[in-house]
Amino acid sequence: MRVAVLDYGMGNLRSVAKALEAAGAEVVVTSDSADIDRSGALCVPGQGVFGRCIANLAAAGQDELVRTWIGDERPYLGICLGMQILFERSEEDETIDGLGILSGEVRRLAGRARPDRKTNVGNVRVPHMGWNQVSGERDGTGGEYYYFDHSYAVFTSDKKVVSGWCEHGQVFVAAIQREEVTAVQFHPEKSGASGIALLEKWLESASKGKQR
Amino acid sequence: MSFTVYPAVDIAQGKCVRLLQGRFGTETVYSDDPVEVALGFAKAGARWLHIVDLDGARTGVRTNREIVLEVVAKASCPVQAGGGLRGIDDVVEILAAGANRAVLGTVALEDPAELRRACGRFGERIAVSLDARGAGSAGPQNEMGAAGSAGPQNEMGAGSAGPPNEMPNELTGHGWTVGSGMPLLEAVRVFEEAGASMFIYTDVSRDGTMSGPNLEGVRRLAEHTTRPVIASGGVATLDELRAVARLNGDGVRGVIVGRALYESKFTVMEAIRAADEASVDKQ
Repeated sequence: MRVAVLDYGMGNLRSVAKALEAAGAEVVVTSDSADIDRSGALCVPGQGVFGRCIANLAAAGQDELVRTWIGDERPYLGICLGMQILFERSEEDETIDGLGILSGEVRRLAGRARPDRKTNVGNVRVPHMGWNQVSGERDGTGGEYYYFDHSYAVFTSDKKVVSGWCEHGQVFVAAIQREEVTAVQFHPEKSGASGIALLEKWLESASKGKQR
Repeated sequence: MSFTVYPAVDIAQGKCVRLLQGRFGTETVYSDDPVEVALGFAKAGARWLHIVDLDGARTGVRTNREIVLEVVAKASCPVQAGGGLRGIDDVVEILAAGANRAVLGTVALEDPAELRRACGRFGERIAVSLDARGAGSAGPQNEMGAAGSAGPQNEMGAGSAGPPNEMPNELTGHGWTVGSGMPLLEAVRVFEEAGASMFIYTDVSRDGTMSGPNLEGVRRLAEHTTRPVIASGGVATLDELRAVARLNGDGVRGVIVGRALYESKFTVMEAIRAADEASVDKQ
């Protein structure tokens, strides 16, 4: 499976490329739309700021590329900001709209910057930086641990697209699955064996999906 | 998950080494390929890595910069990196390359304003390294004793490390070669005020010795600060590692392990399991 990792000037893509390769993909890191179109699946990683991310995509016409790609039901994997941009808006930058492919919004995690160490209630430091458990059930436990690094998270009333929940002071959306769209708030590329396993699973389902 | 084991990859002259008590010239070379070692730890299940450019720490010139950047970009787990990060530009570079946390030491001691700028901009992504040596009581009223005069060439004689579990008092910089004259707990106050969100505490006299961690030292530091503390230095057995992990409830959130892993005293996964078990009820 050839996977295009979208390069849109938002930080280091090497670890994502390397993790996809470890999961068995042939990876091209590219911003070229023809190159992307030749690929079987598209991965949009992301770190940084929502507004700049959307602006960068729009400046390169890649917002339309992502919309068309997902509209054509081709396999998509969004990581962190690559997930958040799919929603309608973000508190991080209210001057710019998200892609609005999924309904819901991105809000800043509540929590105290300095938790009381004696009680350490929920350990709710923001940003949420560290390993945390992701469960398919909203109040369940027993899921896999993945590495998170974010201050904003997705909240949606469209529960049927949510495939994973996480809790950090409050419950937020950790993973999305709708048709060919897979998106995760955590970083599979920094989540060791569980991250690679998730990427393998995505590649397997992507290879069964629509191909050109 | 609330207590993290950090396998350490220290790099000198392009090689993966361990120093003894922070002294250059005492290094044991464990591999010529630090990248392979680091990625190996990640593959073995490490949830975080701790990587240090020792030459950078000592001289401020990041001789092993390329190697460190390669590790942080490629590692399949989060990485905290330090050694020779002397200003904002270095921090920007290492975080952009993929590091998840930057560790500052010398610059914190010598340029608190720069530490403040770094913390203001990067917050939780900055940890401050407290590399302490020299015996002394830890109380705030403590006067710097004779051991506090540790100069640049100070050698740690066996006797000068102080009785076990005393808290080493003086902070060092420049890769542990230069005593700062600054008492540890006073420095902690200054760094907290500058915005440091996490401390890495190394009892230099124990580092690389596998003589057991300084539990009392790290516990007293954790008690003194509201910030999470990572302990470093001296862990040689799983029991010692468990003892550190049990300080979880006191604010000790992790332990850096070096030589014990290189000498196969235990594996990465054994260390993680031991830490998880020992810290499980202490959240």
